Amino acid sequence: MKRALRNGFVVVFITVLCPLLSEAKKKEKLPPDPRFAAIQNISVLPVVDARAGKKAGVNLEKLQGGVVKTLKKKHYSVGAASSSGEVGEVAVEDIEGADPKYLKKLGPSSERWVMVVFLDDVASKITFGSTGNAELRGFLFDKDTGDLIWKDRGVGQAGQGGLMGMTMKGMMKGAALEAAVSSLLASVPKRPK
Amino acid sequence: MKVAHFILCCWVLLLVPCLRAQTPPGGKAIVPIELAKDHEQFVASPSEQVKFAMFKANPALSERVAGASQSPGSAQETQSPRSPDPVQNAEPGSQSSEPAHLASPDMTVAATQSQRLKIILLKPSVRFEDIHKGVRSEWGLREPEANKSAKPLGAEENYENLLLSAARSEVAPKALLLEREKLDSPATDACAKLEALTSRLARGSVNEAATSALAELAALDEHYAILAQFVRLETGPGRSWNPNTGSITSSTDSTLVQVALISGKTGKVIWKGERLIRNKALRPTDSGFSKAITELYRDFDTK
Repeated sequence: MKRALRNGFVVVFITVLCPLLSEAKKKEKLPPDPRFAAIQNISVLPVVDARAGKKAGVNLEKLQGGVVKTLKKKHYSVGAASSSGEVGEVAVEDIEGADPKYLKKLGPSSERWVMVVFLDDVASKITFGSTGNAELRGFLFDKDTGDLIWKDRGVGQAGQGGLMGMTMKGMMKGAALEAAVSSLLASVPKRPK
Repeated sequence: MKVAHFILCCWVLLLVPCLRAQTPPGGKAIVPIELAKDHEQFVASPSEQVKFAMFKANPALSERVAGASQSPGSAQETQSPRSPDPVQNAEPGSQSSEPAHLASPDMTVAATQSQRLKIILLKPSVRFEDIHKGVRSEWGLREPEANKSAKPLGAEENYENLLLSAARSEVAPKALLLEREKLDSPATDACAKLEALTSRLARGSVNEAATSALAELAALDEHYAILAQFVRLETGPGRSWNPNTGSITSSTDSTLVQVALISGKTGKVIWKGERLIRNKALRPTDSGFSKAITELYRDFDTK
């Protein structure tokens, strides 16, 4: 009898406590910055290839798609732009020291929030297995105010040791790029549904 | 034994005339062919080839011909003033590809010096970057530990000095190298504007601001060109190995050295060099850094 009461008590306790805890956890995920909460639609510009050295083939459209997908998972309304706008070729230096006048020309004229992503490096190599590294950097601007809302860098590493790992070299760049996208956008706060 | 010796001697005597070298009076190489008469056994060479061989064999003759072609009023000089080549001068219509070897060294040096660029050595730009923390890939790789190496890998001045000394030693023999500090004030002002853009200029990206600053330089002297040098030292998550899963990662450290020679007159990149060393952020004391710079300038050219 005592045992049944004790079990019943535990069940009731868990039933009451779990929703409370989950609610508390949800509240923590709210974006702390009102500038992120104000975002209605982000236009992700084509990924800029800012790599140095010999350039191996990378599907930049797929990478842009990866960024869009990750932002959508964070409940942002996102669209992929087909061009960088009137500015033409975008350089990191232009973006780092961008003035409102330059920003007005960045991306589609109808869009207010634009994200620029640079591919800094991606490489794979064979060691005692195979590894892949990728580096990205991103900027999010509010064109109306001319503010830089967010910027970060992301690095992705992938690799597998042994003979099996050696055969997987071709997959390492892709895996590293996926990891780099996740790393880059980890600092973008998740919005409530 | 005697019989064997006799047979051997006979065989040698018969063979020697067949193997005998056949040399023409001019000493030119021979292609033996089977023809009835001796003089038909020599393949006829084009006259340019013969002249070239003769000049090569006798440098004194080459110099005399070159001297004759330099004399005022020479018909050949008026036809081809930029060609000091004796072969071409002897026969202006010829299409020989060999004459470069026969050019008088003094004349070549004089021609080069007259067209020499005045390369202004800008202050190199050194940038330290630190990327922290990686993330798990979808294969469940563990998060690599952040690289805790000291952020400034070495004094900025040390990197700058290495780059400047490499530029001085490698570029100076090929062009006239000017120190930025020793220029007059209008040129110094233009260089100051360009130095703010070194990181992009070094990779050959010339924007509007750079074009206008280069035009200012060109207005002072159209032979001015700038040499922009940039080094980026990046530290990030290091290498790792997970014995449980067998996953491995490589270090994300890297060293990038970029150099570009840009013409003031045209604003175009004359020469560009780039070295990216992955998995290592090199210190100025590392031999790899000096080696990288030396290799960078190996193919330096002002054309």
